[in-house]
This record gives sequence, C-alpha cells and structure tokens, in this order.
Amino acid sequence: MSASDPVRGAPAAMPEAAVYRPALIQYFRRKTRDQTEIEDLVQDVFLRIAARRSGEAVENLAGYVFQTAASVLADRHRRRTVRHADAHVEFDTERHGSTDFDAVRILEARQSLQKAVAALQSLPERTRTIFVLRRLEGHAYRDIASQFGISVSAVEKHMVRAVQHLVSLS
Amino acid sequence: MIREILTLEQLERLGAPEAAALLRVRQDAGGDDHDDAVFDEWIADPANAEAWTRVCGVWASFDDAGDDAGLQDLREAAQEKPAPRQRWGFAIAASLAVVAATGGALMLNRPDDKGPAGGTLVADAGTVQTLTTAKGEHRSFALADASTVTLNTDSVVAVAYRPGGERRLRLLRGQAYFKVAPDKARPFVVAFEDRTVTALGTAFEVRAEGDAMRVVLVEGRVSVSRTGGAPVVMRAGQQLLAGPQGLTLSTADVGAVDDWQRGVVTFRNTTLKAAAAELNRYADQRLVVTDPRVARLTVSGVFRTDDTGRFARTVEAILPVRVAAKGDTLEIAAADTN
Repeated sequence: MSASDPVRGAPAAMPEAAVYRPALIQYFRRKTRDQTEIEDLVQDVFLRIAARRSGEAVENLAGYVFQTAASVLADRHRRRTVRHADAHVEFDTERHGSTDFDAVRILEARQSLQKAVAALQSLPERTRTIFVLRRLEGHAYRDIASQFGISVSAVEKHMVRAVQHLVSLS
Repeated sequence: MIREILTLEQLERLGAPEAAALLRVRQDAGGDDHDDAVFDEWIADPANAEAWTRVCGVWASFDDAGDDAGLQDLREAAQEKPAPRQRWGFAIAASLAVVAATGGALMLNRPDDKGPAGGTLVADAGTVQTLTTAKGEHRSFALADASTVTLNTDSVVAVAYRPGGERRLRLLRGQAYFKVAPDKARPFVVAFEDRTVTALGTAFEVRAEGDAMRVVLVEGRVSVSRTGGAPVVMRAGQQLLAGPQGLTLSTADVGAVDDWQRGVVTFRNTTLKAAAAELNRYADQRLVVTDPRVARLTVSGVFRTDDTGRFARTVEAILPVRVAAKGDTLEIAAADTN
C-alpha cells in the first residue's frame, strides 16, 4: 500500500477522510497540476490530523482540516528539496481491513449519486441541461454558451444554481 | 472572455453556500490566480471550509457516474437540444401545464372522475419531463401520443420520448398506471432500475417495492426483461414481481389498480400491520401498531386512502382496540391495556 492511495489508508487514520477528500483535492489543485503530488498532499493532511487528534473531538473539523492543509502546503517547499523518508507512514492493509471499508464507500458513493440524480430531476430544464452537458458530457463553457446563445458568465450562473440545488438536497 | 473579478467582500455577501458553489464552478471553468488568492483567505473561515467540503462532495459524486441508469436518460435528453430558445419556451409551457394539473387535482381525484381528463402534459421529443405526486395525491397525465400515466401517492416518473423512436419512461419512485396508445412502430418502454416493461398497446401498472418492481397487467400484452436477461411475456390478469434475483409470475388483484385511482383501498382479511403499512403510504399522519396481538388482527372492507383517521375510528368500532393520537401518529393499541 503506498501513499498514492490515501483514502484506503484513511479509516483508521481518519474516519471522515472520504468526506474531505474531494474538497482537499480541489484545494490543492489550485496550487499544483501534478496529480501524484496532490495525492501526497491529501495523504499528509489525513496523517497529520490522525497523529494529533488522539481521541478528543475537534470543534470544527472542516476548519481544522483546511488549517492543516494550509500548513501542509507551507511545508511543501521544504519537502520539495529534502524529502523526508518518514513523511509517509506505510499502511498495513491487513490490519485496517480495506474490504469492508471499500464496500461501504462504494455503497455511499452510489447513494450520493442517486440522491444527486434525483435532485437533478427537480431543476429547471435549462439549468439541468447545462449542468449535464458540462459535468457529464464535458462540454466547454464557451461551447455551451454559444449553443444556448448566452454569455459564459450566464452559463456559470446556471452551474452555480445547479450546484447549490444539489447541495441543498444532498 | 470577460470575467468578473471576485473579491472577498463579494464572497462574504453571497454567504458560504453560494460562494462555495461559485468558487467551484469558476475553478471548473478554468480558474485564475486572482481567484486562488481570494480563495485562500476565504477558506480560512471554518464555515466556508464546511461549505467548500459539501460542494466538492456533491460535485465529485458524479465522478463515478459511469452508466448509472437514471443519468442515462438525462444525458441523452441533454444532447438532443436543437433549438434552445424554443426549448425554453416549451419548458415554461410544460410547467404551466403541471400547475394546471395541480389546480385540477381535487376534481381529478373524485372517484367518479372518468379517465385522466385533467393534467395534460406533452412529452415532446428529446426532452425529459418529470411527473410527480406528493404523499396522498394521485394524478393523471396525458402524453403527446394520447397514452396516459396515472401516478399514485408519492411517485415520480420521468418521461423521455425520442423523436420518432421509443416512448421511454422511467419509474423513479412509487407506483404508476400506464394506458398505452397503440403504435407498433414506437415501443412504449417503462424502466425501473435495470428492468424494463415493453408494451405496444395495453394497460398496466408498475410499482417500486424496495428494489423490486411489481408489474400488474390489466389488459393486452407486455414483455418484461432485465438488462442481459431473457424477456418474460405476461398475459392480462397476471402480476410479475421482478426482484434483483429473479422474476415471479402470479395471479394479480386487478381490482386494486382501479381502487387506488378512485382513492380507495380494499382489504380482505388483511392484518392490521399490513393495512397500516399500506395506508401510511398515503398520509403524513402515521398509523402505528406495536403490540403483536393487535398487529395480527385482521380487517376487511373498502377504505379511503385520504382519511387515516376514519380508518382508525372504524377499526376501533369493530375490533378490540383503542386509538390514541400522539403528535403525528395514531397508535392502535389493545383495548384492555393502558
């Protein structure tokens, strides 16, 4: 098991890891395009939190997660030149029983997808179509804009509305 | 491309949920360095970090969408959009039709109402229209080809007609009755998860029961299949239960299909437990039966689905039970206990 599979390493390290993973990936993507490096940075956040948390509840976990992310980022420059051998804790699959956790994760992912699909149904038609064209068909914003005869920022507004709607029903 | 520049003040004015959505979308649209700088300040606030987590979670939920059946229809419909301006006009017209149908719901629901005269909803080529009913409602919709769909309580059906092709519908929740206008060239297909019912001209009901699909064939012929499986042809008067494992054919209670469209349910030596479960599909006021002795008592008769209290009063009069209202529930208990 390597550092490039951080979620698998997460259940023992940090049970809520799957919840924060997408947000952390996007956070770090603002700093680097290197996918491997992003995975390493996300993994570091989880390991640091696991190391410090020692049982007691954190008042605002989301705040704490991104505070940790910022400090991981600050340390990144040092790690770029001298890579610490102990920066990564090897993960023991046997002990952490990845199978059950994977099954739960797949189930949760499927449930959240189903919720999202149901929420899409209740969007106004044009907003839904724009969201589907972008998020699922991967059309460029400017192509969608010209197809509908609207501005790119209008397309963004439809996307924002769709995302807010999905979040409110998630 | 002209792009609005974001400031921290602006994001704070929007509030965390909208700001998070906006930042995620702008990042998706090809972010810029200025956004990133504002983002760093913005996410330092724990409330914003929370909102960012939720937005990114929902966004990522489509990562593994793959061949999700529910999404497939939406994706196909989204791509069949030739004239957006017209589409928009159509969408407004369609939602007006739905409003009109809601307005006429009382009239529609009358037991003596002849057929689905009320909601007219044109399922245009290449669009997906969603038909829904709230708890306790049942409504009928006429489709563009003169087929009709009647939804029972708390149900959702998506209609995606393809231009000149299949008449495709998907049961997303609940129970629906389909009266299909004959058209040999355009199969009428109702899907539930990976199971489909295909009809040419017929009347049938499809109900979602957990992850199983129940089909009751009132008239004509349909074939039922699941992805990769052999089709089973049903005859009128039969019902078929299509679970995740396999298909079971049996004799149907065709009268029940008529019953719910008239707003009633028929019980024949039905246990109170089963009767309560059935009526609870229709109302927010729930019937609760906890005592196993009471649960085993049986009841027969025709009951209105829109009046749970009336059912409770009836069973109180004919069975050795007492009914107590507790908040949103009506508890049916043995008459001899406190």
